[in-house]
Amino acid sequence: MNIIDLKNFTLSIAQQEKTNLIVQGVSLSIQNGEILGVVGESGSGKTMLMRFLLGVMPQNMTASFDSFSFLGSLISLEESKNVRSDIAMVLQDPKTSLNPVLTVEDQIKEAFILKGDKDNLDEKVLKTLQEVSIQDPLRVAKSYPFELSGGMGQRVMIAMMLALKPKLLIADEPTSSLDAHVQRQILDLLRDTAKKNGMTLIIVSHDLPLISAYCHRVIVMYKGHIVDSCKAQDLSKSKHPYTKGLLRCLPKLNDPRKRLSILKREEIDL
Amino acid sequence: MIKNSTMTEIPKSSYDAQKKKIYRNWIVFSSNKISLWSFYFLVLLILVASFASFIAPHDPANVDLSLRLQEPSSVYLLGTDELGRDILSRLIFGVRTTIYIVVLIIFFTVPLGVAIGIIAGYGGKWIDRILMRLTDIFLALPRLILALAFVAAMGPGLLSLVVAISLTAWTSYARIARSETILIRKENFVKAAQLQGAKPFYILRHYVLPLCLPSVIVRLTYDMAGVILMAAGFGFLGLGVQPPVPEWGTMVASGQPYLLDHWWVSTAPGFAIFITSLALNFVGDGLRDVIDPRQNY
Amino acid sequence: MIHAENLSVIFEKKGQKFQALSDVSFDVKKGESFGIIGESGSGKTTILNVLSGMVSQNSGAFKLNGTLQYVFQDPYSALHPYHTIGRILEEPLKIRKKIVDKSLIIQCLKNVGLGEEYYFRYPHELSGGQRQRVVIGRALVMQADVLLLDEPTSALDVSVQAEILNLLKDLQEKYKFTMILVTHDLPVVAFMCNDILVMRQGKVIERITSTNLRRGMIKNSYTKELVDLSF
Ligand SMILES: Nc1ncnc2c1ncn2[C@@H]1O[C@H](COP(=O)(O)OP(=O)(O)OP(=O)(O)O)[C@@H](O)[C@H]1O
Ligand SMILES: Nc1ncnc2c1ncn2[C@@H]1O[C@H](COP(=O)(O)OP(=O)(O)OP(=O)(O)O)[C@@H](O)[C@H]1O
Ligand SMILES: [Mg+2]
Ligand SMILES: [Mg+2]
Repeated sequence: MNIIDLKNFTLSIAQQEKTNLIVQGVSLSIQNGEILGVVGESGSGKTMLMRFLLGVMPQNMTASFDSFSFLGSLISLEESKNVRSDIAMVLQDPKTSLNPVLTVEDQIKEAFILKGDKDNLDEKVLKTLQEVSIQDPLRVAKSYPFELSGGMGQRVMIAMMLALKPKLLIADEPTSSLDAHVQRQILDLLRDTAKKNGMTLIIVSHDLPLISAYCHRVIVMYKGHIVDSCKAQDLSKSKHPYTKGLLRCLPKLNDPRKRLSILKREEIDL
Repeated sequence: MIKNSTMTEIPKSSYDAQKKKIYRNWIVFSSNKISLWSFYFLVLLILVASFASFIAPHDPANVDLSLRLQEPSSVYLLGTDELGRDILSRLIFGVRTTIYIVVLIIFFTVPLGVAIGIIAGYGGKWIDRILMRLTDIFLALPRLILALAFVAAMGPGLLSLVVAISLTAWTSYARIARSETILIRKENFVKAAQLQGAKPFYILRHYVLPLCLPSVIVRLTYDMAGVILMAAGFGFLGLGVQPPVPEWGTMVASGQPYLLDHWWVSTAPGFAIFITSLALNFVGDGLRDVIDPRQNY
Repeated sequence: MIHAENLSVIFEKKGQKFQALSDVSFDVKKGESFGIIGESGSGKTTILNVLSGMVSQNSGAFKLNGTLQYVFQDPYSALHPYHTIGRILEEPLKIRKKIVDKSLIIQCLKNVGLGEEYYFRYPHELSGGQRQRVVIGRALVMQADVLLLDEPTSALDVSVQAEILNLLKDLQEKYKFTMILVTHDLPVVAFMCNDILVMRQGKVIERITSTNLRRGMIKNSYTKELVDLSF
């Protein structure tokens, strides 16, 4: 069964006399339990597409689609603007998404309470923090967001979202400030949780090797379009010029050079 | 070079850029219809106040006891009061008094409150502690008793009213400005300016102040509604503006003995107070949407 | 250029002490690119915060000649939201009460690969990569001698990352500033820096050259693990 079926989705924003298209004619189906990777240009509309799925669009944007179903039930354009409680999203910018005046502990507790879970909260908070590989959960639980390192903020965000036990978890750049070691642990945790709870997972990331190692399927976005879609392990063999261009831009540890090759955007047509 | 697919036309001067930003904020604000109409209403009030002498059908201070407590009619659209003065004209001139009070109070409270708030928030440590305790002390002063004291000392009138309200009202701006400043202080662009060698005063003036003004302004619109009600309340108790200056609260009070037989005397100014403070609240709601930080940052 | 000796930082809260840095020493020569990698929460950002004076060390000392500028990990909060890009670039001059020469600012925009048309834009109208360029441009207007870069490209896609890293290399060649780059991305640090510090739990566990890192001539087991685990 597909958890999400979206046909011909377009998102636009009116600016002065012009309307600008942020996402253009995107169709997307995601299977239950699938791990989908989303990569692409910064500013290509990845975050906006995800925010639409969750139901939190900026007010000044207009969405349209031919059909949209979530968990098997059709959703009208009106309904699509409401937050879907079965979806949780780890936001791209964890430090600014955490509440600056609450401790980590209070924020995670809030997530549990939201799910109607009110017993042994202290214990549960510590356990979730341990799960996301935080070394001294006691100290971190009592910290305010500004006292955390970049990577700790990201992990706290993930811990909160997992506490919500969603059917679909969208992780927008979940591990961009984590070292390789913790990054693996977090991704393993996400993958295991997905398997155990039958959760579907969408990972948005700029890290192509990571996506190709952890996802089942990848979609590549460029200027509001899905330009390429393939099995994750075949990402490196993709024929699309944009995907190929991206792969060429990656610096490689075993390949010293003076300059990195850059993407020639003129050569890519949609 | 990276070209963004969703970029609009290129502004060519800082005036253009400013215009574009104001336009964008206006779009957000005007998408809330109630706020928009409330805003138009407030603009109308200001126009009415400016051209009161042309609009008012009668002299608001013209006492004619033979015309006492007339019902609303085609000559006196809202009737006359206990001294035979035209209520509509008094309402129209009353807008001036209300605006006068509000402006005076803003003038006394906002600059002081914001200055104290941002200095406390940015200075931190003992500066913060001293200034905030000071704020607490003023916050704890009982307004009504203070007003009575001022009236006893200076006699009833506009100035005692303004001073009595201002003395406690500035504290809310100090608190808002302080809490905003504490958040702004931690922003990276403030740190960048510090690294460039900016002095505290420069940062307060160019970084902290402009960024905390939007929330202060929103708070201000809500507070103005409160000030109008409070001024009316003081007027009603006879502590505020003194006759013959037309003031809405005083007008409500003067109609009180005749409420049952001559309902229009109190109703019209009461309704004016109600509508104006409601409009201010709606405008506040609209402004709050505009300054939603996600729109600006 | 930069000489740090036995830097220690202890954060204290309600009587609880937490040692974020213990006895960190390193030196960086003028015009060099110096990399810092390591575990999340190991104190990398704290080192930059100490060097820039935003956190004061509890013991140890450092010497740093010249002005410095910070390129923050998150380009979204690094620019004043109410100032146009032009104004942001002029700011260092304004602060020092120097004469603002508009052609200089436009030259600087061009240097970081942005055109004149960005002068009157606001930060929210730029993409993440473009903002990061503005931050780098600001450091150039200041003629900063030292650039502190905290994961400058982790929020950017790889094509923009490539452009920015190339740009930084070019500019460094031209202006000879010193760079300290914090990142968790080994290929990036190997591409940019010759000398790399590996951190774990507030301590320096290894100092290694990028050539040795590439060749796998690694002494510490944690560093080895990082190399093995990186994709
Ligand atoms: N509130 C907004 N108002 C106007 N335009 C916006 C707004 N938010 C985003 N945009 C524009 O929408 C486009 C898509 O943005 P989005 O955040 O989805 O990009 P992204 O693919 O997630 O990029 P990144 O990888 O950098 O996070 C961008 O060009 C951006 O400038
Ligand atoms: N202001 C502060 N108050 C208390 N503790 C702090 C403060 N700033 C940082 N810390 C703690 O110091 C440690 C090191 O933080 P730092 O930000 O330097 O890590 P980092 O190496 O940059 O990690 P990351 O790669 O995740 O960004 C963390 O455990 C963090 O919780
Ligand atoms: Mg995004
Ligand atoms: Mg850090």
